[in-house]
Amino acid sequence: MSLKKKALIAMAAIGLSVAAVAVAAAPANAAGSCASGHYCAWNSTGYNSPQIVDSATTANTTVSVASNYIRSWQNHQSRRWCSVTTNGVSSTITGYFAGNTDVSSAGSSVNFFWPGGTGSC
Amino acid sequence: MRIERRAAVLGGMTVALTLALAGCSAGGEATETSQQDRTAVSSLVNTPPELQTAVDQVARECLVSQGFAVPPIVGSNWRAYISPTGLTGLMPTVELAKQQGYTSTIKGNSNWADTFRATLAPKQAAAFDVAYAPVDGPHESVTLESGTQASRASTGCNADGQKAVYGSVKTGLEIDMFVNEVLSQGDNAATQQLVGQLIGDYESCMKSKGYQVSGLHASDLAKKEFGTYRQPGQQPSAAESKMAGTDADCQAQSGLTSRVDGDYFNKAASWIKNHESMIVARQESLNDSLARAKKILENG
Repeated sequence: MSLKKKALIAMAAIGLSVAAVAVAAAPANAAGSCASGHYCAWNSTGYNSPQIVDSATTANTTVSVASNYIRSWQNHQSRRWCSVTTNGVSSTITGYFAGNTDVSSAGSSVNFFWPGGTGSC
Repeated sequence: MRIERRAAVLGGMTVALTLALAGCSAGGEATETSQQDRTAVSSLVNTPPELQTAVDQVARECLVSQGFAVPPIVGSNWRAYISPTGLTGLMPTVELAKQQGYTSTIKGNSNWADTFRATLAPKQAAAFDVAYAPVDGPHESVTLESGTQASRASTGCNADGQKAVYGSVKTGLEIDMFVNEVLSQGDNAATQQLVGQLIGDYESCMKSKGYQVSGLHASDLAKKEFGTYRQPGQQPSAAESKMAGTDADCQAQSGLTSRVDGDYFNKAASWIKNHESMIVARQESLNDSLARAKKILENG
């Protein structure tokens, strides 16, 4: 089973709308330039490219990305975001990203992002 | 004050977690982490929802005083049990499972500030950002034990809420980020391997009770069976509560509950021991913050 399929199964399993998945392969911003109201994560420390995600969604959904590793993030939304990995049998939250917070050096794997809102993230 | 006395100050969630983790020890898992330390770590990972609710209340009042017509906050900051491994779907006790049910049956709980901001025109949204949590304003920074550097706006209404509840933005950051320090001590691959070894017994147990589940995804079945029908904080139906209780029982019978978290605490024993003074300090801050939060919420 492909990782993408496993991730979709996991997203369905945690009760979120798979149909509403937004694949956010946004172009890299300049370092530290995540806009207000957005959640951003990067594969490099210090908010340097390559950027993994730049999302302004406020929906109760998941944001799918290619399997990656988060090394810095900025959450300029108020809700918490989480990074999730899955192998089809179980899902694991690898990072909790508090609202209105910047972290310039982090370390967590991700298959998809899960913004908080339903009680688990 | 010792860790266990501080833990005792926390609410019902901690009591439930203490019982769950005591069950782990009773199951015979060899461990180097004391029960008190397990409880302390779990209470810091599963912070009481009153903290964020009080921050939100202070921040909203601040925004309203500056002319932003933010509606009263509805909804809840309630969260399901967080395992120190990050594994989702674990239910530490039958009692807690029956009480909480599954997150998949809960209607989406949009964040009040994000929702309000989305209603504003760009110019108003920019003014809201400055008033609430200015991205380009001064920030309070902390460097965590892992070397992680975190920062948060030290001005604006959100900072006012943080200061009112946590005493400072820095303390709020330290408490919010603690969960990531805990997760970083786990071994995701080892956890998934362990779950793979135990999942067959769990699935068989659930099947024998009439619930056909695949993997640690009973929440998927719950959503199919019961729909997404309840508001955050609203109790689950009797049928959902029964299923969740059965789920927790099967997790316990298959060893999932005790061995997953037990394995984590074995692996993290050295880190916990070496950082006990930090954990004690965080827990003291948490208790002080919870007392302030409750006072804020009582005064409405």
